[in-house]
Amino acid sequence: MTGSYFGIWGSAVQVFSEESIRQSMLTAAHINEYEQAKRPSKESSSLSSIRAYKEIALLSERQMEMIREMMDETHRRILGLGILLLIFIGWGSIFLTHKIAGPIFKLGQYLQEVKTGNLTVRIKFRKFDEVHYLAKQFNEMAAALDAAMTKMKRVSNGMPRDASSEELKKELAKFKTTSD
Amino acid sequence: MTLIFLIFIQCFPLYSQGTLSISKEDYLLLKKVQKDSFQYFLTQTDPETGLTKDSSRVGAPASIAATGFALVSFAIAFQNGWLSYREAYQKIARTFDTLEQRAAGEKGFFYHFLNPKTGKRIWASELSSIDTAILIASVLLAASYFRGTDLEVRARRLYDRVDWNWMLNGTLLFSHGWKPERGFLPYQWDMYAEHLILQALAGGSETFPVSGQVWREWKRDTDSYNGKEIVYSYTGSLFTYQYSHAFIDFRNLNDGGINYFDNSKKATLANQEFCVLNEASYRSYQNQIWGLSACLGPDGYKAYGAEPGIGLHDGTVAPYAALSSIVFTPAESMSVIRNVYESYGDRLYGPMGFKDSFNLDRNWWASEYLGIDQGITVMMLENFLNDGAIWKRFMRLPAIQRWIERTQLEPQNNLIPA
Repeated sequence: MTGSYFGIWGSAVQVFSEESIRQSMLTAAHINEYEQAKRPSKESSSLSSIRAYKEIALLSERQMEMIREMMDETHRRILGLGILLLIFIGWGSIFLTHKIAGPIFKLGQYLQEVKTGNLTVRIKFRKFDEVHYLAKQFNEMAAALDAAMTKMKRVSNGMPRDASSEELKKELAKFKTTSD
Repeated sequence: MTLIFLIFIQCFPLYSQGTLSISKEDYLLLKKVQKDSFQYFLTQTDPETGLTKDSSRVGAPASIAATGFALVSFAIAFQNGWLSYREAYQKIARTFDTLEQRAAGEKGFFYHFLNPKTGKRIWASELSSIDTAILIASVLLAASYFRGTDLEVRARRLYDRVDWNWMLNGTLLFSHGWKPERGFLPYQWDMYAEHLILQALAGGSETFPVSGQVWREWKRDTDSYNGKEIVYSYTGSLFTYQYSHAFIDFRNLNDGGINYFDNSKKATLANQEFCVLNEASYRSYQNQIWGLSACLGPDGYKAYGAEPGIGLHDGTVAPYAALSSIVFTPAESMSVIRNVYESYGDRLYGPMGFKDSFNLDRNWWASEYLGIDQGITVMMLENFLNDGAIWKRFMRLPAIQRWIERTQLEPQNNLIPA
């Protein structure tokens, strides 16, 4: 982008350099003289103000052309760079989706599992996925819950059978643990 | 045996030149001028686009007329052994590529000035009728040196796509040109000038032929100078009597009693006599030097010329003017060429032949070479030194044959004696 900027405006500086302007003025004079030579008239050639006016008009037309050329070149480059940028954004979006949004979506699904009582779930992200620390914390949380539920299930199994212990067992049975 | 023959040709070129009757020294000088002038096209043609710069000055745009002359020069260079067949072919093919695909134009016509690097129109130049005609004539001529190749087909295609009728703008006279911003230019080819080549191509076209009336419409104004009756051009510039004649052999064509070859000869002699008449006022014209034609001068490019015509002059002489009239006035032209070469060669002659012009009275010497002036030099010298080689090729083109037939130009023997 920076290179392109300097490329375009570097050529603009060159176009309007002293030497280039001198050559352009000479060319303007020549072209005007060519036109006069094709249809000469003694009156118009003797009027130097008309001649100067025509040369300046030619020169300004040429400068307009050069500016138009530079604008066209700028537009072409901007269009090229824009397309490149779009490709980059598209690729970046897909990349980020896979790297960040994917794992977060997966984490949501695993939390849903935990909500329904499945404490056996453990997250294993792909190597290039971001947010590995979240997976670690989730897995530690799930393991702690799993261990706690397992212990509670074991304690409840040893309790004398009565209505409240049966109720507790029934509630604990809703949780799936690694010891089940 | 062949070797002996070649050595003979090199040593005694005079005897190999048919009707040519000049000394060996003059022949060698003319050959040198032709070869050196050709160098202009080798060095000033863009290697990528094949477009040729208008002048040798830094920053000069490409001109389509100069590009045309370059095409013919490459073919002549091949014929003279200065380029190989392959080199000449490739250079011409490269220019054809640009003309077919990149060069800016409309309806088959091209803009007068193009960016030599891109082929885009520059300097808000006009779609030029005469410059396109010179280019197309050169395209056809250059391709004729490469018989049976695709260059002939491509040349024909470039010619066929030119809508000559459109350039008439509903009249019977060709416009000088057209600009997208302003339409047709308010000037027409309405009297004798260099436009005869435009007339010939337009009249001989198969795709967009103009009617025979167009040929008859422009004025053949005559005026007398030193007892010579001349169909004259407005400026009296020698180039107006030369450009069409570089391609078309007018020696045997009779246009209702006018022979344009003889007319150019008389105009050239008038140009010489005009300079002699004015030699007391201008040092440049002394020592039998003459040659008033459009060229660079101390006050810029001007359509210098002699009478008949407006006869604008200020002592500026263009060596190409006498050089390119050599087919009309061999002895008179040769005298000027040798004189200028020997007297002013150190200031006026360079690696690309004669620089454009000089003016002794103002001690002014051109530092530039102009493409069209080097081009007409190369072509006219080829006609002169090689027994009308260009004329023979060009007159054989079907387009030219059709033009002669349609305009009912009669053979020379029907000419009414003056």
